[in-house]
Amino acid sequence: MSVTFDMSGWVAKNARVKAALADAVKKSVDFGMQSLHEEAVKNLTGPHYQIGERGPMTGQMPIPRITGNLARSLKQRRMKPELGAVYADSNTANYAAYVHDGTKYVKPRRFLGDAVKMKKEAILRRFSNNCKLAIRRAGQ
Amino acid sequence: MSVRAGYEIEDIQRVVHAVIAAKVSTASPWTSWTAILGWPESDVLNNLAKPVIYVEPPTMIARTVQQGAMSSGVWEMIVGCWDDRKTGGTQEINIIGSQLLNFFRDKKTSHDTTKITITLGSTTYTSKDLIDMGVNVISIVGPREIATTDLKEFRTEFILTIRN
Repeated sequence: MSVTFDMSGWVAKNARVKAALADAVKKSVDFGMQSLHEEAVKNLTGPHYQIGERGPMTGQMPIPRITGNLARSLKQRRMKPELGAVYADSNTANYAAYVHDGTKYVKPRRFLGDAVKMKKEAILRRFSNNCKLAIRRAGQ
Repeated sequence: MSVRAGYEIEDIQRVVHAVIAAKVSTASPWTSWTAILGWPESDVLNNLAKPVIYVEPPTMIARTVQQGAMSSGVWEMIVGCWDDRKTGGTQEINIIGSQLLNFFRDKKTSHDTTKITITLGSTTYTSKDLIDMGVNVISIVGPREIATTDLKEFRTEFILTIRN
């Protein structure tokens, strides 16, 4: 007489949950990068004005633009499946940091920082929902 | 709860500024710095003899709800340190940052023993602490080093997370 313990079902379920979570995290990072990118671009697409003119809406969002170069410099990059970045490419707009953080003469206009504040809750909620759904589906 | 409903942005900023101002007016090494409410314009920086700590307005990032209690807001605010050619080196900005971190991490000092007198609306509150004023700093993160156009200008920023 013998008793057999077969945990293969449990191991298989664990593997399914792990794979589903990895996929959910990847999708959540995609959503986060896309949301931040869109919000930051929105912050950077204020009214156009010409070089030499006094810019309209000084110090306010959306930031007035001359060429729109800074908005075009915003990029997304995935470093790992669970790690992504949205950044202003300094090769395209080397003045991005001065616009974002301000200088002695210009107030900061935090086009990325404000985007994070606006979207943080939505991104975290989506992340939580994606993970819960993935676990529930994989565990069935 | 002394921060007025409907005036939170203004009141939270002023309360946090008042606490930092209380420190810079009494405690060494804080007396070597100046506390400024809001963004320091260039003429302000030029006219001051000391490095500054500036306190920006808060932004609400979330609202927490508890069963049987009123909901509370979670706010983030930037507190920055700016040494504009006052000392000529990075040492001072690092000391300011370290003191700020230590001050807000030490709940007893920042939320209890540091007392402020402040007028919000038509009411003056005397010898109150952060908790009396309804401002609970739950975390401080930083410093984030900020790029400057002048080699002898040094800036860092911290983010305070506040529950009100």
